[in-house]
Amino acid sequence: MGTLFSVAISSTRLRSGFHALLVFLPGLGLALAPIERLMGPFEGLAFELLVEHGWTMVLRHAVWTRTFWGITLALLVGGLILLVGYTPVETSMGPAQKIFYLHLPAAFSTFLAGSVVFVASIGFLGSRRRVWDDLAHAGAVVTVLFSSVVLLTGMLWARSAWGTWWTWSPRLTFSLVLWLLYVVYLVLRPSIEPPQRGAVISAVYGIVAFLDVPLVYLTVKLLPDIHPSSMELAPGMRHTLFYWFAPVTMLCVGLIAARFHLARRSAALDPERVPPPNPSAAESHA
Amino acid sequence: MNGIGYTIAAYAISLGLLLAYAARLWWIIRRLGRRDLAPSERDPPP
Repeated sequence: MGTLFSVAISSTRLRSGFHALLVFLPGLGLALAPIERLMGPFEGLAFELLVEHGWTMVLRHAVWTRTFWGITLALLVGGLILLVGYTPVETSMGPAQKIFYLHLPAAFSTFLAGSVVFVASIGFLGSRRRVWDDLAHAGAVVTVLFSSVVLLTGMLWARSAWGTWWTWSPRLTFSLVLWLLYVVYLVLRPSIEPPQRGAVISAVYGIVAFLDVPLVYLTVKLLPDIHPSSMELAPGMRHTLFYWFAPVTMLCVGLIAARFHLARRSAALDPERVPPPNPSAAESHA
Repeated sequence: MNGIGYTIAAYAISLGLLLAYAARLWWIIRRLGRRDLAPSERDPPP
């Protein structure tokens, strides 16, 4: 397994210092974005240099490649083989307990995608740049996808373990509310005219909607809930759980990157949505 | 349906949903053109 991982890592372009830098720079830009307006004559530098160009290069050279998706698919297939051939069957819940290895990483990815919406919405309100809105929208789409997976896997497990598809416990209710909040985000965003106003309202909504994420996490700790808060796992189960975090998180990042990439391409192809700053440059680019 | 059935349904529907969406995005981006791909991934010149 160790050899497989080292081969996989060495085959990606992230290993080179140049591409490691490409991953680091957008992160630095994101961190500087909230204080961008305090940077005086260097205002815009963090965004232009580090975020816009950095992320575009990351998407082009590191994420949206066959290598990335090949590794993700290989890890998913490996995870399924692990479930069948390696992971022990839990004694009290039986085979349905294996749903947990997808359910928990999907919940983590939901929070991750929701965090992208939150950060990008703050970035949009701070800079009013369209690229932040596109990133927030990409995050919201993926949040809905993964929270759907969380609800679906949870319901199938509940039917097997509790004998019912659904119960209105605090965590389940807040999870459903989270799904609804981001579905409303996706419905709300294109329905407001003009698009610039829609982007501002969506950004404020994206920040408020994120408040439900800590509620989902904390309800089971603070309130009496039928949902399990922790589980004792045998070593084989723990290894499987850690393993499944890798392909599910990669799938989440890849989907956000791909949806964001598509939005940027659409923006470039639609001159009414984002007018080119320099018509002659746009013509020569086309 | 027993526990194995619920487990198979959970993985099949969930991964099917996510991978179908990934494939749809891949297809749309490919259709929009290969202009944004890295030079190494473009078709080699004839």
